[in-house]
Amino acid sequence: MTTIANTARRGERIESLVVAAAVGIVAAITLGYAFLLGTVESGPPRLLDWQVSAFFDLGPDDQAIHSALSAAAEEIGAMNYDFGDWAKPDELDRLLMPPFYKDEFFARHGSVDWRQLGAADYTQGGDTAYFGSGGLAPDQSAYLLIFRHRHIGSAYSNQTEIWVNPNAKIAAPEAYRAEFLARAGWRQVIPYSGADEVARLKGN
Amino acid sequence: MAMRPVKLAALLIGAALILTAAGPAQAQQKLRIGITLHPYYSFVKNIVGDRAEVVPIVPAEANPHGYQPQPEDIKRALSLDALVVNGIGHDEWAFKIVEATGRKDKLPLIWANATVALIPIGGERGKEKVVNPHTFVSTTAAVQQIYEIARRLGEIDPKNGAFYRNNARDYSTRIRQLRADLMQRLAPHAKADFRAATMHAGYDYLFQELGMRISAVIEPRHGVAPTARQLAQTVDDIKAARVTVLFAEQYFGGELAATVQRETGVKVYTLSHVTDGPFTADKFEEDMRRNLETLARALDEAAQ
Repeated sequence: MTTIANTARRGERIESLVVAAAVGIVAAITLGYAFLLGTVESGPPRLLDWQVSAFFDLGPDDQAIHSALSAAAEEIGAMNYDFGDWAKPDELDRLLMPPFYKDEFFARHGSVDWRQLGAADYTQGGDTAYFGSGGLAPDQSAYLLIFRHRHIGSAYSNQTEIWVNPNAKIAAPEAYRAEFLARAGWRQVIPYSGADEVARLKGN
Repeated sequence: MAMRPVKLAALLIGAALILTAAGPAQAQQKLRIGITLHPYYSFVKNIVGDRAEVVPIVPAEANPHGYQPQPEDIKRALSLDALVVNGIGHDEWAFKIVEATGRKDKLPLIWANATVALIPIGGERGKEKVVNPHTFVSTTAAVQQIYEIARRLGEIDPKNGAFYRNNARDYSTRIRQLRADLMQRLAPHAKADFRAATMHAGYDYLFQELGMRISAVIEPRHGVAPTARQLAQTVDDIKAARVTVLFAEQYFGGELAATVQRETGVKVYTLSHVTDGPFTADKFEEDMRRNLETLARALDEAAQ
């Protein structure tokens, strides 16, 4: 009877140890996960080698043109959605849309020469690019606004990118793939957007 | 030719049935879109027209700087289908109101600035760069917010999506025209050495879109009065930067502006922060037109 009782007690002890170990492991995983959640980074997006920050890295002329291009991209994309074509820079000028509109803003920020390099096909997709070069302001860049127009079935998306090149007089790029642009000295501009600031203020 | 009474009665009953069937159904389908700040009332009203109700969640006379939520605000917020917020400053109280309604995870929030490229507060501040939340005192950043709001409203209310987008385009065209009119008046001053300071860090987006720069900002932080030492330093900075014009805020900081004017001899003009007075569809355009005219006048007078 004693042996049976001892064996039973030993079994209970082992069982308690196993339960305690399991509880410990679960607690460690939970705490570790909570710690990781608490240390999720917020604030400006991390930049890759070929990217620059609109907020931190651009000079005043480039920053002003970037802000204007961001808003213009919204409108150009909406016009494409509704009317199917891609407005040319002279049309955007007539629509009073900075930075294409030839006003004092245009003159004070280097009188950049804007061209449309390519237009994505309405049914097949592709890239539409607006190229701005020849700016005369000090330390001014060349600019590239790209719409990556993609079709998935009947749906489509317009992903917008803005790139700068420190050589304001650089020739127009022959291709718009990120690797090609980065090799040619172009840098993708990453905005510090309202969504980023909300994430910093309120967490993700 | 007179219509028989029976036929007339049948027609009237039929019309009444159609009206009672359609009327309440349409009324029920109208979304109630909450807004926090005055510019968002104008933006949303111009986007939705009469197809949705626009509901300010705080009274028109409330000063957004340091506003404390009231029970009536919570009642209003309970009936909303969505709420448009700035989210990066000025309407922090809106989140307390939403939390108090118990709808924190249920009420769709439309973050007006989601896609706006933010810029730092202007003036020389060494290497420190502080986010400027005043995206709503600008025509270019306003256009971007209008499109974002229209897109999100179209997701919430798809049957009116195209209507909202068209209205966003028309409204944005008017706002661009406002800016273009001022740019015409700026042209003669293209070469002018115009050096301006602002009391409040509220006008960087506005100055940027006009191709102008701010040399100094008096307030060290949004809504925070400078200490005596900071003010003395700013006065020195204004003199060193040869600033001749100071743009004060319409509804606060008047005494401080007078002090700076006395110490430096700058000429003071006042700009609107677009966060006061009645909520109207035209409020944003009217206040921005006044702001742009004030800027044009300051340039004209500086050139004399």
